[in-house]
Amino acid sequence: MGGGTSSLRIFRVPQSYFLSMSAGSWLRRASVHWAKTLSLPWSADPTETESRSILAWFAIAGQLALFIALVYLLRLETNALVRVLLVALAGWCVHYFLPQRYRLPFFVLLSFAAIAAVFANLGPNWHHWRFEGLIDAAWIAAIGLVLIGIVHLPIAFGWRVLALVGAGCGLAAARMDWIATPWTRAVWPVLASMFMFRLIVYAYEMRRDQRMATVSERLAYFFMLPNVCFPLFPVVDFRTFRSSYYNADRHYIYQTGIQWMFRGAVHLICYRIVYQRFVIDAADVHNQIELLQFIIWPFLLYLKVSGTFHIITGILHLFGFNLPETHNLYFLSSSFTDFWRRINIYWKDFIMKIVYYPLYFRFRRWGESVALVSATLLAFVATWLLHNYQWFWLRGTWVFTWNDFLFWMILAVLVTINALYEMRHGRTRRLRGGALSWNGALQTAGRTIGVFVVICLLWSFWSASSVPQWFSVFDTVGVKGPGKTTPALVLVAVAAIIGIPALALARGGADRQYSFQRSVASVAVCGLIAVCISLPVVHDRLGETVSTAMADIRTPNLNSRDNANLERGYYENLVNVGAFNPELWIVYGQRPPDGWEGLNESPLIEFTGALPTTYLRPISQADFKGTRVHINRWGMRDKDYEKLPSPGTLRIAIVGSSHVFGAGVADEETFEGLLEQRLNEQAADSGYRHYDVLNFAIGDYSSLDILAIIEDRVLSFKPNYIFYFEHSGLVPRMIEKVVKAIQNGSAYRYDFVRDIVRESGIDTSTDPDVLTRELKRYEERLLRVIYSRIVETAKREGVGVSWIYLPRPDEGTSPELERRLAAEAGFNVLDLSGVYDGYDWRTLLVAPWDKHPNATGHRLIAEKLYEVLQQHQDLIPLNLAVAPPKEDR
Amino acid sequence: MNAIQIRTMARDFILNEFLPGERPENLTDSTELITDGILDSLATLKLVAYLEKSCGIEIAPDELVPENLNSIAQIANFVQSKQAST
Repeated sequence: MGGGTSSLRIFRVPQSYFLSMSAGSWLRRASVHWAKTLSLPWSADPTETESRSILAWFAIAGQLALFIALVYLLRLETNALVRVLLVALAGWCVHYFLPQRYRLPFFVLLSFAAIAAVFANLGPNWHHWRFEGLIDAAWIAAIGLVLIGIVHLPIAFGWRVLALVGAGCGLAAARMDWIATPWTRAVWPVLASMFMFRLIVYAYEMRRDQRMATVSERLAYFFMLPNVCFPLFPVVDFRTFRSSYYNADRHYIYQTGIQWMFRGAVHLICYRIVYQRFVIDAADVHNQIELLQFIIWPFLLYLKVSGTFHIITGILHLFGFNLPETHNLYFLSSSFTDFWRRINIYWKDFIMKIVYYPLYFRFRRWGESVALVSATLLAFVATWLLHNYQWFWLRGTWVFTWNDFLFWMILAVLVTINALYEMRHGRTRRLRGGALSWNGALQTAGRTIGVFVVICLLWSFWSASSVPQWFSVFDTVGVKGPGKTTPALVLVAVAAIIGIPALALARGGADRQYSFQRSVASVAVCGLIAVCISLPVVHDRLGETVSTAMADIRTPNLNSRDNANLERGYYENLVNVGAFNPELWIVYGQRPPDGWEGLNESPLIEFTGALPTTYLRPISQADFKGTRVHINRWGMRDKDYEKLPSPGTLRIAIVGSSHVFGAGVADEETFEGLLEQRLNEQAADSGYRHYDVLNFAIGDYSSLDILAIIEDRVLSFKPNYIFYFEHSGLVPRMIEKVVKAIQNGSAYRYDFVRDIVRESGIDTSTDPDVLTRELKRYEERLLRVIYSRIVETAKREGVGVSWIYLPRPDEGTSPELERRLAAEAGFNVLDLSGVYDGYDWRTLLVAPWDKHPNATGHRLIAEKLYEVLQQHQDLIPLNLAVAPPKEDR
Repeated sequence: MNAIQIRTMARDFILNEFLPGERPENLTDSTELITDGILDSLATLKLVAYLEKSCGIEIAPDELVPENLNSIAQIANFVQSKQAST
């Protein structure tokens, strides 16, 4: 340290310096000054907090620009983050040259500017500025200032706490929509993340000393720059926030921030791959390999949290806050207490300060062991309650579930036992750079593998839908997987991946001297390579593996499993929706609690208690997903038709689920209506007097419902053709419907269901989640039979039947299984792939939290469908005019 | 009890309790005890109990902060200030 401090120069030069010099000496001295100014700082010297260097400025700004490019290209996080990062980059470039006394006020201004920038431009479109968003931003500032003001009221501390609780209750009533508010729902997650925990920490500190911080420090603490785009925010300690401010060489602090931001990006990239590729549902566990997959991967989803926390603290470093790490190699914890110390360190510190230490001191008169056990267990109870408190403020609902409670309590017991052991027998500690013996290191590595496995088990339990479902997956312990991979091989791989780094960590090594230049060089080179690979023009040329991996990473939406569950309303019935899944959290965090229920909760639906499970209520109307929906006398979302087609009419019946029904669009905007209109515009040239397109689609329908409605209703309308629409991810819905139909007995109208139940010997009265998993083995057979039945039934009546692939706007995968089975069953298979080409899929959604296509999406579908029908007149002779070549149109 | 005595006492305790086998010269007055993971919550509570007993002071839970306990030097200053205030 300090070896090259001579190169660290003060950029601002006093005026007298110039006035007292001759021209020659001025030039000479100025050239020396600039040469030094342009040089890089050689080391991190805490005494040189005011050093400035143009090259260092370029180096930091360049790396930050690379990071922004990476976030933008890989779509890591939301557009709001890109906006905040651009504000941060512009602000940092100025901030760097400001005298220290102006930096904190400038940071506060920048933080407010970021809030305004994000609220004025919510959504995927960069050019859609909504200045009414500034009113929301102003409300956040106003409410925040009132809350801070309450802590400083000139009354006794107890009364101030009471006033805070009162204000909190008022806000809670507004959060639950008991009180109308002049601000929009977007305010809540941001306001909550700024104040729900920091206000507790702040009040705790203020109890001791109210005058200890400046106004800028207080405002900076609550309105921290990155907070507006990260509702899940680390609980930064007020004391640490203040004491870490420029407590070391500033270039060191800035560069540390840049390093952490890139590290956070790596976490998020790994998270995306795990989320899109590897995580599987309990229902998909059928053998040992899938069981291991189910157990191991959910824990790795936590990379999302550690990644965002790295980025948050990294951004704060850029403005001088030399905060400690939020996570420290938590996959390499060698004990449960070690795990608690390494994962979400800020949370641990918060709980220790607010709950654990005060309780321990209160209980210690009963003995150390009693105090330790009581304080630890109560600290975990507090953690569980505070997680629910957090969830309430962010989402507006409570998430008390058995899984969640048991997870925290099991962890509490494990940590308590571990802590008691450590209290009695001690724990091996090392000074920085110290190393364990080979024997000790091997023991530590072994323990690390064991802790990793237990935490994985616990995490999979936490994220399972229900306790019985989690236990049921272990029925597959004795079932071998189909491939060459064996469970032993997987376990050896896991042991190596965790054990080798744990061994290296335990063996330690010499502390490497920090070098600003080395850090800049390594981060910049790696960042540049990452940005280059992120460019489609580059990664498309690196082979299919890289291209596919990049597609996974660049997919910021739900994976196919969550999408399917979301669409069928599965999560509506779970109070813990999103609590353990950050992607779902984003979706549900934005969604209003009322007015966006599934179709099955609307008065448009009547339940049959049989198959199909629902029908639309004839001659009814209701508001559904923001639009008025009308149902005709036949129970279709369509205009009125005679039951039998008039002479010279070609009639098409459309079947499918919510996308075809037109969830979220007006009656006249559905693609079914637009197609009918288009067909009739050219009817004069077709030889038909009229085209009828009848919409039999109903939201939440599965293939089993569709088979039943075709048999019971569609064919009686004498269609010439049936168009069956399907998108990916509908098979789990079919299984779920079959389970319900088996349990209420309605499925037994079909002999193929009865055969499967008899063959499998499954207990039909068991937990639905368990039964779903059992039936998953029969999904291909079920779908094949259902498709075949549809085709046979239709052909028997002389009706042509087509299976049409209609992708969702955000669909990343196509339903290969369904497509193959449809072709084998005898459907005419048509494909609407590419229907949304040229559009940003996020602009085609009904709402950010609802993945159904909007009016533009339906228009595109109608156009594409018409085009595909024109091209396939050999299969479906609708007598359409031949489409001109694409170039001519 | 003067600052040197407190430092010696704190260093001996930390070496014996938490760093057995460590060479004494590696633990300096400025070694970061909390930041480097030597003083975790359990160790902090053990150290506090020891300081209270040996130095005749009473430590409150909100005093268990890095400013007071992150190094041997800070521990000595903290204990001295507590002794002065009692």
